Amino acid sequence: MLRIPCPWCGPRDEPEFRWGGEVPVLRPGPPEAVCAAAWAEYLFMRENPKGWVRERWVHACGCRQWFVVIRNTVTHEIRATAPLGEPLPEIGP
Amino acid sequence: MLERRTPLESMPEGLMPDGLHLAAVRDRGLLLLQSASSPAMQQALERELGLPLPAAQQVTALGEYALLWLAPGQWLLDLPAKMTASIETALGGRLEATLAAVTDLSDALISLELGGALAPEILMSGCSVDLRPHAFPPGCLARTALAAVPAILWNPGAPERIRCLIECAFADHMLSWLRSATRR
Amino acid sequence: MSRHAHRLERGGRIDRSRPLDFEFDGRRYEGFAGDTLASALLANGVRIVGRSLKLHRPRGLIGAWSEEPNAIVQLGEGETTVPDLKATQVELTEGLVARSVNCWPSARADVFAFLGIFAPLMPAGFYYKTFKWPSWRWFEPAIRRAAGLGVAPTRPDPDRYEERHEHCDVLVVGGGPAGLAAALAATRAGVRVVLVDDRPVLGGALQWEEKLIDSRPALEWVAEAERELRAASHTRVLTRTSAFGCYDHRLVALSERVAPQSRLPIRERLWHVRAAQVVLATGAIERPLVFPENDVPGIMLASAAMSYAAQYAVRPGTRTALLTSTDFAYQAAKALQARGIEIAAVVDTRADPGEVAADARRAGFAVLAGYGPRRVHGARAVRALEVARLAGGAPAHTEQSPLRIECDLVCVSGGWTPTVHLFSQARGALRYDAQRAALVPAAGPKGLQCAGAAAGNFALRECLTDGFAAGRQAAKAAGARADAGVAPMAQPERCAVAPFWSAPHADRRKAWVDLQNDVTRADLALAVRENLRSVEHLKRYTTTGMALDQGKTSNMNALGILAELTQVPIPEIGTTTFRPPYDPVTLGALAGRRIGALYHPLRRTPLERQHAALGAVFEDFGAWRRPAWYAAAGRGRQECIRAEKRAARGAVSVFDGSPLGKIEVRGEDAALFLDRMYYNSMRTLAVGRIRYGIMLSEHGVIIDDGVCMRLAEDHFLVSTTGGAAERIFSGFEEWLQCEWPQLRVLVTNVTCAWGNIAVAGPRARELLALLSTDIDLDPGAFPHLAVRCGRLEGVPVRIARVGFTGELSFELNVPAGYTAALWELLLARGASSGVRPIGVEALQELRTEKGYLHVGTDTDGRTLPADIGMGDILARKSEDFVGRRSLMRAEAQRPDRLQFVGLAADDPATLLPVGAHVLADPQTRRGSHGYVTSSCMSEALGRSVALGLVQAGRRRLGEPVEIYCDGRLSSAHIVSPHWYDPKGERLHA
Repeated sequence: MLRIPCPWCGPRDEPEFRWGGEVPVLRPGPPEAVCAAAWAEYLFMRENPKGWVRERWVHACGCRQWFVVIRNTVTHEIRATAPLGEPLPEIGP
Repeated sequence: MLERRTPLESMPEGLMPDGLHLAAVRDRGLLLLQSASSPAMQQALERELGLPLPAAQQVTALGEYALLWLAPGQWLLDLPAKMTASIETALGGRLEATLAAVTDLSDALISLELGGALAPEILMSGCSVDLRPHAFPPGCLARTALAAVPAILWNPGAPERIRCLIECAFADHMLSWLRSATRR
Repeated sequence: MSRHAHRLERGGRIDRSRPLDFEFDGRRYEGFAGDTLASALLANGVRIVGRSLKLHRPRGLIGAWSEEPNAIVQLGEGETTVPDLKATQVELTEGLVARSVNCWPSARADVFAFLGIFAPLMPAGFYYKTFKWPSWRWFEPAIRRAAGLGVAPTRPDPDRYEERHEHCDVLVVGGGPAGLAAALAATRAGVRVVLVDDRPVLGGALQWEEKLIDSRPALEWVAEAERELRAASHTRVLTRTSAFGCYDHRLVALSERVAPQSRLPIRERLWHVRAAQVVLATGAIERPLVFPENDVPGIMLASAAMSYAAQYAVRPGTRTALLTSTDFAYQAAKALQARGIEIAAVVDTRADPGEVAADARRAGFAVLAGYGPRRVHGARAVRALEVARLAGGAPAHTEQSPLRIECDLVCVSGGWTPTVHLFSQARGALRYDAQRAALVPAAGPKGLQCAGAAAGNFALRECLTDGFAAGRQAAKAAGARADAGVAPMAQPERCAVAPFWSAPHADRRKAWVDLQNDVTRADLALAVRENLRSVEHLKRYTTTGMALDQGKTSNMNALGILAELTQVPIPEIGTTTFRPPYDPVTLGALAGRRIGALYHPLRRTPLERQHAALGAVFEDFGAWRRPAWYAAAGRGRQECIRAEKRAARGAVSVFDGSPLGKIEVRGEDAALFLDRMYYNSMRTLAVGRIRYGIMLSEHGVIIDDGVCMRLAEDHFLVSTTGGAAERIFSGFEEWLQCEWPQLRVLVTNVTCAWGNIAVAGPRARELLALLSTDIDLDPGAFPHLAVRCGRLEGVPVRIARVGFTGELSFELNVPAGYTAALWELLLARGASSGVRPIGVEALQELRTEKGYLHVGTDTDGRTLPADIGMGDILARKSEDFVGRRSLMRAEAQRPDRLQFVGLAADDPATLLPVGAHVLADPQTRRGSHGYVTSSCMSEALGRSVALGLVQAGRRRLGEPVEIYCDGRLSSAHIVSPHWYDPKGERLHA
């Protein structure tokens, strides 16, 4: 069970959070201008890397805020978390 | 006028084993304050009640008023029930020019207080936040899960006491959970 | 045999003044307080304590604690019975009743013992090879009965189990010398410490090794350390507590045995400990040696024999041979001799054991260096050990000149295996250390380290210094400032080992590697011959290292033998992954108090007590407990529901709609935001009006429906279905925080703040007119789909002219605290109008005959707006909204999609079953054109009515279809879903 540092509430156990997938995922628009491939890319295609990934989580039964987490999908190590839109370290090897 | 009731009205109160004490916190009102601008909210509260905004995971208190941090841009004002309507109107008026909302949640949440030296341990049988005095001193607040339901827990400053705010729909669940947790 | 026949005269940490009666396999025995079930059995001369898993061979005690593979017992009887405990870990209590598992009627006289003659038929992987025809399922029940271990109780467990979350700076697992030293160092450094040990007493091996620490008897040091730790307010000491799982980010799960030692009425407690630093001082387990007939009762680990003699004052044998490849056996020989056990010989597989052997010879021991085991004489108990001189170096030994050593006990000592289970569970890496002949911890995850024997430091001196250093380092990493002082000291000792993975010709007779799973060296050899060379394959094929045992005594030997067989060095073979639990955990402990009513928290409406007083039959609907219907004396369920429906259609009904989700949306961009959230347009909604709307996922699929009310230009109230409030509100927050943070909108979930009572029926307005309100209820002033805010009986109210029954309907929203009083008032005042409360069942039938769909019942995970007849809105709305692009896909435009329609059985008395399929080809009864989603008998229409999703349904209105369910066919026609009041005149009354 992960221990995730919520940027507002501090470290809490994983069941308090909900995972929201990789970021950034840009929502394409307007709908008429979006080709089927781009829409499918937005809906379904993700990097799913082995190693460091940038993803968003929400502290669902805490402050209900979404934030960004840099997590290693192999070791589950969490390098950093930050509110949406705030700077985070680059994810390297 | 219709009679107002709470799911805690038939709750048995008093001393429990191990020096524990469970009580319903009655005759309190709760106002949810939301604002896109903390300075505007800060100003409104200071002018209306003289209460400073609490930092994250903190509570500020003045007399019969306590202001609980809930999230960035969200606070919960715990106040005497009889003042709820007038303060709601007054704060609403002061915040009119900004993106802000004042919502009466007095009936949405129940407030329980568990006292006694063992209170943190009892609650930690269903809560993964460390509630022992060294980790959860007076004025400290945690939004977390208690007994698998969302809860706002805070330390009102009195020794060995923890307040729990729970969605009123879970009142019966919480009372049976507390009964089973404190059974000896 | 007399009681305590094998009890030593003196010594042991047992209380001879407190004899305890107990029963094993139906016979009565006596032990002492402080005994384990195993030590008491041994004291009573019980040698056979179990039967092996496959072949039902008689088995005796090998170990003295969690490493024991044989003595598996079923403890207690009836609903409190516990299966699969090790007798070595069961503390003796008065009246204890235990049975050996996997045998009948007893371990001593097992009728399944004949299975032994079929041994050649049960090689490795025999399940996979033998039970293939006609099918595994055919054989499984019989095999499970013959091969299973304990049995689960059949009745509910009456005992209580607790759960606790704990936080600390340093968690030390293991209370042996290294763990105690670590806990002392961390405690003295001033940080919060938790020390756990699965035994009833601290000290670990110091309980039987009788060494000196800081020049005093080790147990004095243990007692003093325990006093110091227990006196420290920031340190918690937990004994009888097994750390069974080590998870991500240093979460360690513990299972504490509370009863019967504590007076608390709690049987077990599950701890979730989150530690900043973890020190695993889990010790090491001695390895047996693999040689022919090494499972005969009377063959025991040297450390276990020492433990029985020193801790429990039990003589595990009268004359023993020690069989070893290590220096440790010489310590054991001295210790056992000191307890009055005759030492026949020390048989050392090493040609030149060096000083340790010379010392032993000087002390008068017979030492056979360079000898190895040949076989054991005796079937149900050891009579003699046959050894032979080994020639040629390992592993290709040969043997000469057999020598028979008469003895009734063989103590084996093949080296020590660090207990790295928890370290490995947490993804710590292991490396093979040839000098120690063991897998030792290498790189671990952050904040996790092994210390003492668990790290391969087997000598006491190193255990103490390593443990102390680990504790000091962990405390420092956790932020400690204070100094921990000096580490305790002990004398140096010899710990050399030369691995002896298996005896020569071990495959000629059965030489056991894994005693619990009945795996022999020959089984491993067969697996290798069949090319199952990967250690993970080998484990699964032969089952070595599985089940309760988790390879405690067998893993390292299996690896060594695999290396011999494949000629691949051990480091290249690697090891299997250790998985929790280290030791079995009861399901009761894992469930804790989350059973019965506390299993799943349910929301209750503010009218719970009122419903109960009216005889409501409650059911769980999503997250809410709601009245399904109201029972009346002498009337059945259907009759009661019919009466509720009659009141709703003919007079007036009240329905508790409090679970409906209520979300306030405020701010100057509120309309813009809701336009994006809803498929329907909300910007064009006038203040004081209500619009029905559906919400979509980005895939275009309908995820919820409900009404949206505009209370002011910049203030909306969104109503969601009962179970969806949290999901929709979370969705709003996610879009606002992640996608459109610039929108000037605030959302507030007020679901629980307001109670909701729907007053519906032709006499609804008549009933409301009896209440005092400042809202004009006249149809001209307050039309269908309008909302009014005001006061009702002196309290704030929001009244919405909407409903789910198809009748004239008012939803009254009042602050939740007033709901009960309002409900009682409505029932009292409405008595003359024929008011009746209705439950969810009646409402579902009413909405089915009205043709109102229920999202999730009449739609599925593919249903798009056009499929329910709302396709035209898309063309009229120009703005983007969630799911819009997905509605433009070719797939979404296909004419043959499943569409929402009514289904009319040709026989009006036939109820079409929900889930029944519309046949694509009635002739062949093949293929589906859709299915029935809702169905009921309608009193109002005098016939059955049904709703369904049918392929191209709306173009096929009037078409006959065949409906198929469970072999039965019904003829029906596709019709409009709007069965009742299709023009909606009753709504606008």
